[in-house]
This record gives sequence, C-alpha cells and structure tokens, in this order.
Amino acid sequence: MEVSKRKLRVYIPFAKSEIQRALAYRLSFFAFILGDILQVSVAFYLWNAIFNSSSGTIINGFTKTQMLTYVVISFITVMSIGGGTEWIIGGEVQSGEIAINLIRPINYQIRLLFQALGSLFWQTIAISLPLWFMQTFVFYFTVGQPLPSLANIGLYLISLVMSFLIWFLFNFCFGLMAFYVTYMWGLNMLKETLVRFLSGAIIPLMFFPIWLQKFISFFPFGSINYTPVMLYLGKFKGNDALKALGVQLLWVVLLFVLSNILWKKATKRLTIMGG
Amino acid sequence: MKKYIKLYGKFVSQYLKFMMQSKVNFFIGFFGFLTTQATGIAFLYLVFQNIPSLNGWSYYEILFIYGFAQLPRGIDHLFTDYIWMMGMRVVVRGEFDRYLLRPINPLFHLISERFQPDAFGELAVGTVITSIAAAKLGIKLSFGKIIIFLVLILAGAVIYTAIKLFFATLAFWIKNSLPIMNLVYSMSDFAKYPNSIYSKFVQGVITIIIPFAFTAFIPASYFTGKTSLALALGGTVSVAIVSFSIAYAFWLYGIKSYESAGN
Repeated sequence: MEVSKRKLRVYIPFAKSEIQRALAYRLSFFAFILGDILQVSVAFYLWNAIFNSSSGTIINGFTKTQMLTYVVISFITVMSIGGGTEWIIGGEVQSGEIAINLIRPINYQIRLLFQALGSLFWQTIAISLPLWFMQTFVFYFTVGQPLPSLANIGLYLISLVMSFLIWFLFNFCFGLMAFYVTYMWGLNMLKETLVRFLSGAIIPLMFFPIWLQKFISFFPFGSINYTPVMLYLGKFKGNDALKALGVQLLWVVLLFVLSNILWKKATKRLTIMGG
Repeated sequence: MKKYIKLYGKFVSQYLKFMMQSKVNFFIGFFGFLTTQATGIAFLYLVFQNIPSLNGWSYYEILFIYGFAQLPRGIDHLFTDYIWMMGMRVVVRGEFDRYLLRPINPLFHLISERFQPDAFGELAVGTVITSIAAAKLGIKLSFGKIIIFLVLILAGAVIYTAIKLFFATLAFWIKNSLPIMNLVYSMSDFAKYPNSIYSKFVQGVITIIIPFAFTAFIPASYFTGKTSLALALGGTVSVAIVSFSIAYAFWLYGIKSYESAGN
C-alpha cells in the first residue's frame, strides 16, 4: 500500500500543471465558458417557451422548474467531467511526442487520468459550484423550488465520479483513433455532437421514442450524463437508482478493459510505423 | 476584379486537388457538421411531439427558420473559414507580414488561404430542411421569391463574415482573439428560433449589436408571412452593408496598427 501511494504521488504534478495551465489562460478559459453558457441560455429560453406553449404543466413527467434544473445540472455535469484526453493523445501522436512518453517510466493512462483529474478539480470549483449555488438559490427564492435533499446530492456525487471515469475511458479509447486518422478535429466534433445528444445533455432520454431508448441502452451514453442528472432530480428511486449506478460501474469496468486492449493494439502499430 | 476571380479559382482548384488526396477527411468533416445540425432538428422534432405550436409557430415554420439559418452560415463557412486562424494564430506567429507584401488585397489573400468543404454538411442540411419545410407550408416559389431568397442568404453570409472579421481584427492588439470570436459566434444560436421567445434585452442584442437575427429569423419569417418584405429585404441588406463597412474599416485600422512579431 505504501509503495503504491508513493507511485501515485509521481503523477500529482500532472494534475497540478493542468490547473496551472487553466489559471495561466483564465481569460480565454472564461470567454469559452461564457460561450457555452450562452448556448445553455438558448436552451433555457426555449424550454420556457415550450412549457408556456404546452396545454398541461407537465411534459413527460417534468415540470417546468424540473426541466430548467435539468438543463443547468446537465451543463454542470458536462463541465465537471471535462474531457480533453482525446486532444492530448491526438496532439502527441501527431507531433510524435508519444514515442518519448512511451519510454518514460510512468503509466501513460494513469498520467492522462491525473491530467483529467486536474481539470475535473478546477472546472468543478471555477464553474460547476458557482453555477450550482446560483441555480439552487435563484430557484429557491423565485419559484420556491425546495433545496435538493442530501441523499440526492450524495447519489449525484457518486454517480458523477463514475461519469467522470466513463467519459475519461471513452475519450481515451477515442483518442487512440489518432493512430489511424489524421483529421481528429472533425472526428472529435462528430463524437461530441453525438454524445451530447445521446447522453441526454440536450433533451432527457425519456423524450426519445422507446426503440431508440432501448437501442442506446446498449451504449455507455446515458451513464455519462443522464444518470447523474436524474439521480440529482430524484427521478430514479430505490432499486432504479441502484440499478443505474450498477450499470455505470459495469461501464467503468468494460471500458477499462477495452481501453487496455485498444492501447496494446495501437502501440503495436506505432512500433511498426516507427520502423 | 477579374484578376481576383481568376486567382480565387486557382486557389480553390489547388485546394480541391489536396482534398481529393484525403477523401476520408472530407467525409468526416461533412458528417461532423451534418450531424451537429441534424441533432438540432431531432431536438425540435422530439419537442413538438408534446406541443402543438411554439409561441404560435408551427413545427414546419420553426423548421424553416432552422434550415434557413444553416445557409448563410454554411456559405460564410465555405469561403471565409481562415478568418478564425486570423484570430487564433496569424498575428501571434508573425504570419501577417506575408499578406502585406503581396500585390493583392490582404483580406482577399487571407480568405483564399482556405476553402472549407466541411461547410457542405451545413449547406446540405439547410437545403433539405428548408425545401421540406417550404413544401409542407405550401410556400409558393415564384421567380421573384427565388431571387429574394438568394439575396437574403448572401446578405446573411456577409453579416456572418462581417461579425467574424470584426472580432478577428481585435487580434492586432490582443494577439489571440479566438476566445472572444467563439463567444460572439455562439450568439448565432439565438437566431435559429423565433425572436419572441427571448427577453427584450436578448432581442435587442441580436438585432442591433450583434445582428445575427438578420441571418436567419428575420429574413426567414418573411417567407412564412410573419415579416414584411421591407423589413426582411431592406433590413437584411442594409444591415449587411453597414456591418461589413464597419468591420472592414476596423480591419484597415487594425492593419495600420499592426506591429510585426519579427525581428
């Protein structure tokens, strides 16, 4: 145990440097976030108009307040779990830096994980928490939405950790595509869009037709965003909540195994190319 | 003018040769932008399963605006994508010197650096969606209307270019203006839906300050009969002329203030 602790300590600077990088470019960082927030506000206005145009007050089990909360918490989740691992891999494959990283006496995947942890930590403090406070208190005082229960917050946090791991491993696998494809920018945009939609970040998965819901339940998308947000809202109760968390755990394990298989394949190919 | 058209043709044909070498990349980009817009439409479709109309706008009316919005955006994207690089790295890397040394207009030179076929994804979605929506709404296409349609789309594209150019020009002073360009560009999302769903403040911003409303909502709603021809055509064209003049004047002023990064 002592040894593995010391081993992990080697990776902490990678997490720290990620935070320092964000701090060094904080103006551009916040300008980008503000751009994202503008897009969320479009969704906000849109849902507001949708509920005002509806004959009933509940759509697919959501009240207007719940739906607006869904939009905000979903955004917070996307921000916290971050991403960017695929860019790091892509960049290092293109520049050839990856070769040096392979001969360093550290585990490449753990190093990337610590970098992702760094941005998780920073983005949660800089974006998610302030937005969460704002949403919670504004809704509490304006429309009288009750404060979220501690149980729901706890479930959300457990689920968020797994979302983070799933998203990290997913991006790790995806980033390995850089060994085969040169246009990572375009491919990444395709991935971001699909995941955003299929993970329920744009519209809750409950709105999808049943066949599509069934189809995407074979993929990890729902576990990335939909599950934590629904747990936060208290929409999954009792056994459903446990089941949702179990599915997330399953994806963490499956993607971990897959990432290692793909990693071995990709690096083997790299050796051949390097000649 | 003739010289410029000929030159641009040469640039594009060079670029197309390059593109043919990497067809995979073309398809990735094409599907990337196509999917982005397709999910937006899927969202609208799913929402309209639950409501009859949105603030008095039917599904196909909203779809028409949404599809229309892609067309000026796609045209601008196709031709002037390199303006993003202007904001991101041209000044930082000292590359701007090159544009000043050649005997052609620097803005033309900058723009002809890239022809962006990714935009065909947006244009394809836009064309298909506007056609379907127009057919469902029973919009009759007379010769006059087609001309008006084309003029509105071109004017909308000019507005996009002007907004991008204006904020890219800031790079002459702040070196990297990409974050602020990205921020402003995000506001174009507002124009994809009817203005009436927003607060008065937001409406004011996207009509007057950053006039994205004229790239989609205002011109498109002329065809659905909710805006007068005077506002749609007159407004859009004059906003295009004014915004491009301001952006271009600012750009010229920026060039004057440019200090090279070289030694």
